[in-house]
Amino acid sequence: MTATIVAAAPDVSPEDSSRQAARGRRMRRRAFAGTIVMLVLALLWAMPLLALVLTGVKSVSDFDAHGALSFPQSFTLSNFRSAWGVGQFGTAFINSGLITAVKVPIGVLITSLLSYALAKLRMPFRRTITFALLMGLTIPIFIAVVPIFTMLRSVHLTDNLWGLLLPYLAFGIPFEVLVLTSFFRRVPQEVIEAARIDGASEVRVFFSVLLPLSMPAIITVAILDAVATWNELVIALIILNSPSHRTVPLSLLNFQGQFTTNFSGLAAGILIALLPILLVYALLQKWIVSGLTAGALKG
Amino acid sequence: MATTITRRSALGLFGAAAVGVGLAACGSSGGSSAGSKHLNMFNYDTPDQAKLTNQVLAAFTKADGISVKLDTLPGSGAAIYPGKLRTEILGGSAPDVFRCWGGTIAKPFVDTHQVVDLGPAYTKYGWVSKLAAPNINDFTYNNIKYGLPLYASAVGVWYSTDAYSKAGISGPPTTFADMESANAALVKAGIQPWLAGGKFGWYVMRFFEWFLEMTAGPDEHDKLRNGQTSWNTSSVVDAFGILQKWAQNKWLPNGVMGLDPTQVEADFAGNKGAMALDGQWIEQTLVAQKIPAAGYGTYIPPTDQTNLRFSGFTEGLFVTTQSKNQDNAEKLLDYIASVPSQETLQNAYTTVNAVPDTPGFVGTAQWKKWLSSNQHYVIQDQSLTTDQANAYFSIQSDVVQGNQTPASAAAAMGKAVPVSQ
Amino acid sequence: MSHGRRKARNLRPMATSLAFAAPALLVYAAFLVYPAIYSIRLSFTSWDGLSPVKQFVGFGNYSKLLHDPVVHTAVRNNLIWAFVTVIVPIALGLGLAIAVNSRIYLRPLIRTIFYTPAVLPLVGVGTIWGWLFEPTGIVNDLLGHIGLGALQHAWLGDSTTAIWAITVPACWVRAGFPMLLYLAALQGIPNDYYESARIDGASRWQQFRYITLPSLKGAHAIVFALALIDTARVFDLVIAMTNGGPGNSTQVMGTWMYFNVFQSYNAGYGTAIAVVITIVAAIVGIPYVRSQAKEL
Repeated sequence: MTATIVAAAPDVSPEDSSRQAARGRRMRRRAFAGTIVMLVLALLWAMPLLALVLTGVKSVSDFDAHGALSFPQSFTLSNFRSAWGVGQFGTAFINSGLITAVKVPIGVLITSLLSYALAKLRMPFRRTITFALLMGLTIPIFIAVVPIFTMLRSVHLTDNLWGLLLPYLAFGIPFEVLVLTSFFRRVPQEVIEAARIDGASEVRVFFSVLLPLSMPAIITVAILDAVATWNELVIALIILNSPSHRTVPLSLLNFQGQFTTNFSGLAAGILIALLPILLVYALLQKWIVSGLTAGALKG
Repeated sequence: MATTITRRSALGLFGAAAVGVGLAACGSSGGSSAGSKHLNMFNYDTPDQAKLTNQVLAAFTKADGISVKLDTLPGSGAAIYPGKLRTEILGGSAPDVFRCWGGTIAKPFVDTHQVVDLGPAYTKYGWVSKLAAPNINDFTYNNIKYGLPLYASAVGVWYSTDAYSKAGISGPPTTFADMESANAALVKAGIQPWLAGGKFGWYVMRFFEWFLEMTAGPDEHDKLRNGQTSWNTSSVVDAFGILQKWAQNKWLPNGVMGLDPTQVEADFAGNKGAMALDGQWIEQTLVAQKIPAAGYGTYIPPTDQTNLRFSGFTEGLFVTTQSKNQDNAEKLLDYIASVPSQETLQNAYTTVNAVPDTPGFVGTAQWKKWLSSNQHYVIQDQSLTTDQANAYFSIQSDVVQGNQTPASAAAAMGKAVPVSQ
Repeated sequence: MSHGRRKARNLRPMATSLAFAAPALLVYAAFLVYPAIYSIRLSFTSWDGLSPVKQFVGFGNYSKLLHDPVVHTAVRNNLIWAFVTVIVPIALGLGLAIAVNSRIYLRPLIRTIFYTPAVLPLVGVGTIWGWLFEPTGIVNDLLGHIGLGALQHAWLGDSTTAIWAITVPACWVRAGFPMLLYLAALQGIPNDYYESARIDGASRWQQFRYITLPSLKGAHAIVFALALIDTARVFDLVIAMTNGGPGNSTQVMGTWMYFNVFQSYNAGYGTAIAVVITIVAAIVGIPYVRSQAKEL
């Protein structure tokens, strides 16, 4: 990273090297000052989340007496324990985990296939399809729920976790295709032509040339897709009924009814629901940046 | 060019749509099978309440051999639940039995023939003699009884005895003038008189309908609520005037229109204000927070009318026309309406006669008496249509913020609620 | 014969491309396009959302829309929303990207913190910020602490400030994505561009103006397009923070559609609003599609 690279050239006169050293010190000082400024800004930025965490780890009476931002008089995990029990988050985590684990790979696969066709194959009606996909970004989910429910019921997929799969795939497609097409388009045509001349089929070109080259973008899309899937509420609300089929956002809703007067419990519940997605994001976030770099967006 | 995009897009869209319709067309059957000994029930129980309901349902299965599956959608109130119910009905998988509020919330289901006329069941099971009459009224549309009312709620004043004594208020005010002096005394003592949350409109509406009951009197108020007389009238102007005064005097909390009403209970329990205009459910929070019965009291909001009425609403159970087991569904309703079931449910708002009071719930017990001794009017957002209620909320918000005069507010209400014959 | 073969050669790649596209397009058509077409049909009826009868009313809903005072408020709010939540997050994102890209330590940590709001569910964000904006909440607390007590205000309880208050969390959530995109684009600019500019005596501003900004052209396009389309979809934050109130002062087209379709039994009218939202967003999106399609 450029931040830590400090010029240190060998074989220079003592005078030069002392000037170099002074410059290095100055730059380190500046970098240090910059870091402090950015950390303060980041702290302010994170304030709403900090308030949530501080509320979650303090007792209800502490919150009532001192508000959200005060330092907890004593740390307690009891809010998390009661939120976990009431929200039945155990089942919800399994359900949300299952649907995310199945939906994201399938979604990324079919959207990259489509994006490949749009970006690199002579797909007819390219503009029309791109346009139709773009419009899909704006279609409010509420007007779609009745037809979706009716379709799924006709194939007995209501109140079934897997009933979520097809609508989730559909609503994930527009954004993913937009990002992936713009990435795939930057993959040099020569690389693909070379593989074709070697006699590779399009399927082979896709799987052994394009996909490996596009891994960063694929991972980016997969992470963002996982976030969206994990957080989805409206379709799940309409399709699912039984407590044993609830996903995490439904559990959160379920449990808000019980905790309207208990902010500490509510904060704990929200944190529980957020935690997995925050963890995944923290672990994989460097991929998001590199996925978007790698030429995808250079104009 | 834009034109070519549009034309070709349209072509593509229609092609794609054809595929979609094809998929949608294949296969369409289902629903609960006729004559089976199984029922589906849908309500908005919280997890704790659902446990009790399931106990009752299990006992029912044991007694009658009919199994019942309970689905609940808690935490959403009247905002999401009716929408979910509607989607299931439209999709042809309506539950056999569902819980709902009366008035205009259940009315669309009645108007579109989605719920069963329970008249024969009333006769068969003798529900009229088992239930309190005013509540059956709330579930009667065009003289037909469509639902079984099991929960009655009333809106009244809940006050902190501590705050009252600090402000030198000897007891519940009996006239509206006393009420306003109490507000002033509390402000003088440095205590916020009322807690309220105007975010969804309905909490502040409770104040307005109280004022309107006073300025219009029971007869005119009922005519207004039923759309039989114009809202552009002096009693409405006066009621809006009082509302504006209460907001400007900060008797209602500062910035009340942005506050979340779900916080009122906790704030009242936490002594952040002297009074709340709330239903009996507030007592659950008070008991849960271990506030002694001597710490609070409740009374009917004074209206200076000889016929002292208060705002209330009823919830109960309906049977859907889609149900293929309507007889069994009615049997279930009767079972739930029995005294032992209501005891298991710990239903403090029960409209079923002969259910003893829940111990420790002094205020709720008091309200149960008032609910049968006094009349109630159906709470305003369940007597106006949703469109009218929404228009009202908007006008109310302007009045509270001082952006509209009471006179122009009444005129605007006159436009929003047309007079029907 | 030769003519036929050439035709076959042209058709084969087309068939391949269709085979690649088919799975996604089928799902998309069934679960998104079909419901959308279905609602276009509904928007010409006075359907209440429950009864079996769907009365055809022609363009009745659309002309009603023109005279609906709440629609007027909603359009105004959507414009405010578009203005604020396109410009501020993009400017913030660009500023943050440049700051994070400069010589600082702990870069990954700082970047993570600034991006985190973007992964939170909007309903949760609305809940948190609803607390912050309460009359006795943290925002007013902070104003008091820094000597701006005069500015303390019931932000969400006042029709004139509520919509502006809701744009604050929107910017908080939305700055992360442009930041990442710009950061990615910035890291793609070769360092020697700046070196040679410095040697030529270019000022910092000139470097920014003539090297940095032009290199971000590709990022600008996607950031603007997505931000604009997003503004048509504003919904969750408004519902969570004010529910469209006080009164109807913070209604936007998306929430007003929701109220009509889901709460007021005006499904026909509500879907007409949805159709209008989509048409407007489509018009806004056309330049982007054209710029993308040109490169195909």
